[in-house]
Amino acid sequence: MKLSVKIIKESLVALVIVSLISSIGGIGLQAVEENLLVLAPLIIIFPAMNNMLGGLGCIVSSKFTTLLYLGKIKPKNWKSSKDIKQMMARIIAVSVVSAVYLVVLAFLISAEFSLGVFIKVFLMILIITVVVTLSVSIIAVIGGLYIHKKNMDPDNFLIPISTATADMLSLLMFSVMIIVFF
Amino acid sequence: MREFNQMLSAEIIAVTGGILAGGILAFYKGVITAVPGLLVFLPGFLQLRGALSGALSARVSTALHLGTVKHLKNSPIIRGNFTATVILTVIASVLLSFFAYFISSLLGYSDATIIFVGITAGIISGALMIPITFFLCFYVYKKGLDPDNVIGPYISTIGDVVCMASLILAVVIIA
Repeated sequence: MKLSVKIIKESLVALVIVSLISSIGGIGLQAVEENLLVLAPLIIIFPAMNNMLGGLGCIVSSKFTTLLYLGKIKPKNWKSSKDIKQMMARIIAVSVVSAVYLVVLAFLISAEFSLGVFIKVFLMILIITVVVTLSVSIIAVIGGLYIHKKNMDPDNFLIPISTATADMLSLLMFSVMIIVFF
Repeated sequence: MREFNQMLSAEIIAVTGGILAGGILAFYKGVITAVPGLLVFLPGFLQLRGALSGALSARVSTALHLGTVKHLKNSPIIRGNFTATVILTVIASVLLSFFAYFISSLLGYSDATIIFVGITAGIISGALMIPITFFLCFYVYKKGLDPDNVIGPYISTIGDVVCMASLILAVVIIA
């Protein structure tokens, strides 16, 4: 019972923040509803892009938390940590390869191909992926250290916040880029 | 290189699952227009399910790494996590539905249907996702993989498909 109460207490604030942040991302989507409904590749891409970036946020936060608990990262000299540098390099590489796969697969499934639209969507997704991955990694590391310092479990707070930030940033960038490109 | 491969393969699965969810949405795109404000609700819904299951899997992964949990049955840690996640699922569904309704109203789509659709979809998806998350964590760990590298994308992939199906089902039931 004690554990349940602790988890609920620590998670509740994060969930309220997540609900708010994600709803803000939803406003962007609502604004480009017409384009989304007309261009099949865009509506197919949006949940996958969200999923991919949320997954990357989850990996960074989860790995960072485990490294902290195992004592491989010391909060005082985390900047010089070889483990963090390796983790960041891997995450960026994984995100770029995944973005390429995402765009190609979406166009294959939608059966709607136009070189102009493909190039625009490819550029959009690549820019969003790199910017969001970097932002979320920084949030995960700095937020994780702060929460650890406060003696809270980063698993309860950090993952919801980093994935919600990835969501909001990606959806807002996605919506703005749809307005700009289409 | 092993870690890179684990992360990449998990992300490829995540993207494929997401594309599947997007395909379902594209196929049933009438659902989007059937309930006003659904696009405001949708990202938060996908996100919350991922956040709840992601945090649950991260806690179970950490417990497995530390050796404080060895079996799925008869563990107070597992019971505590299960109870907390069920309660959080209900609270989160109610919260998000009201937020979506409030924001939709500000945008000029004032329809309370979104509240009932949101809560129903949240409960359906939670009933499916919580057991899946527990079983997947133990399965992956027993297979010798690091759950931290793979569970997040797997969970969010399954979560997206389950959420999209739950949402369509909720729209059919309510609206």
